[in-house]
Amino acid sequence: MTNPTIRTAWRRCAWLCGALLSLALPAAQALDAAQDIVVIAHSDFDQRGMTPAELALIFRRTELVDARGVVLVPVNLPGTHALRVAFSRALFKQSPGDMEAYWNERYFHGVAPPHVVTSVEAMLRFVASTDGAIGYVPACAVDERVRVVARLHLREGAEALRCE
Amino acid sequence: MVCEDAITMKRTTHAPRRAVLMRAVALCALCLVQLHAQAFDALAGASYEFGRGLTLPALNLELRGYTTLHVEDLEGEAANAQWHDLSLFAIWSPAPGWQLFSEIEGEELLADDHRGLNTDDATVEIERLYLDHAVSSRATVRAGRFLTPFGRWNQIHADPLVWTVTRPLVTVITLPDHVTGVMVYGSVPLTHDSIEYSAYVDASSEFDPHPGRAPFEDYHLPGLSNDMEHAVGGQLRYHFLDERAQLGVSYASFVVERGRGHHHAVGLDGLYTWHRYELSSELTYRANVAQPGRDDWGGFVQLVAPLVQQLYAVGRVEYYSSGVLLEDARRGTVGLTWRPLPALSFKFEYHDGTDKGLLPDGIELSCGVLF
Repeated sequence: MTNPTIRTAWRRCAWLCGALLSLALPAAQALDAAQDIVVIAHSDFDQRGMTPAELALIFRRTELVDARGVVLVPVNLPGTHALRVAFSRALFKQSPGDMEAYWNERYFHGVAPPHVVTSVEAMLRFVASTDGAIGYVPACAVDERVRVVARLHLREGAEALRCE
Repeated sequence: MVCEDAITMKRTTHAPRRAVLMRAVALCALCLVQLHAQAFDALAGASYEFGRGLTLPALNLELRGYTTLHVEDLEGEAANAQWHDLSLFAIWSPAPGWQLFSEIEGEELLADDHRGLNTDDATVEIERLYLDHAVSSRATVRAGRFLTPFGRWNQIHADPLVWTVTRPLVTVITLPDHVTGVMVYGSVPLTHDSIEYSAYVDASSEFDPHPGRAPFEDYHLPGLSNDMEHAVGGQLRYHFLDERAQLGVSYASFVVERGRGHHHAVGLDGLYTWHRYELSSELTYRANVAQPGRDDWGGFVQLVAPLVQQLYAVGRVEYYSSGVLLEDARRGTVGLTWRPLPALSFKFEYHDGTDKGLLPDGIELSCGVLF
């Protein structure tokens, strides 16, 4: 026989834990989403939920046109920008500097690295106004001008995701 | 009166000439202004970055290139220095999805050897010239003259991109380094990795204006041809471990100009990079259909290790057994490569092998820069 007082205490405790969890989960999810780099494209771009392998082909410039036949224009931030470094590490597991040898080889075949813009706002404007453009911004910076096509979760370097 | 008439006459005959002259000057000035304006328009937005070339967005044109200086001191030969390569790339994108690529290469433009300072061996040729059209996200069609997609080295053989001054024998002698024909190529993403493919048909005998006259790079191979007559082939390349590793399989069925029959070649190549270390290898087997027993096979293994900052040590061993050469070739190469900037490299190497006729033992140095 269990003491009714103890049973009631257990129930209250379980209820309290449940309530706390239900409050904490969305907060954790929100925190989780804040750790994301959002990959954005022009609003006419018709692919969503792109995989890292698909994104890597575009940002390595081995995939040159999309399914509609529109020329893809990957866009980067400058090589020293914290978000560029975080994006490069998340997608390629390499820093922008580590990829110089790759771009030298592509250069030999007539392929230039992605176009570079100077800021997150410039990225949003360029992607919004250029059909085929694809770039990336912190989750907090994304707005209705562009279409979200993928999210890359950062395990470290979340300070790169602060909005300007 | 006579004098006045004469002056009037003179005026009347000179006036139209002067008017024509004035009009011509005005027209020239207008043309110059127009040309200047057009040149100004063409240069609008132009940018140059060292190692990445000159971009002229108003013309959809990019101009790039690389150049190399060589110094060699080989056994049985006088030490010599050469301005070895000057390659100029022009990349023009006339319409979305279309790209024209040309590489004009000057070789051995200036030499300082036993003949003194000379330009006797200087040549200029169209190294590559092709049109690319991206027909879908997974396929691009290429037509023209391009590097044979067999193995990895042949497709990145420019001095600033490779770790040694000399090429491994297997990347030179097995099959011609250029294709003149049509190729389809592209990349297919997998879950984390990707596969790159290419398939080509060569018709050099129809399109090459100088068949059978292409020289071999680095090696002295008289009597052998570096030109396809016709060929079909392809390559599959698997990129994995976050692009740190590649595994390639190549196949070609071909007939060479002045060659000894129909050949089939199969190649396997690999690349693995880890914390600035690089291990690479290529293996090739070439069967001669018309003359059994005259097959070729060979390969190399190369290791690159970082020493301090951008200074690397390079070591390579290679072997080549040929039905064409008099004896099997073995060679070892050790060297140092310094890349102070991504687009600039200085190399020093010593190689020692059994194939003295192909390449005597000795020291070679080079300086290569992408501009």
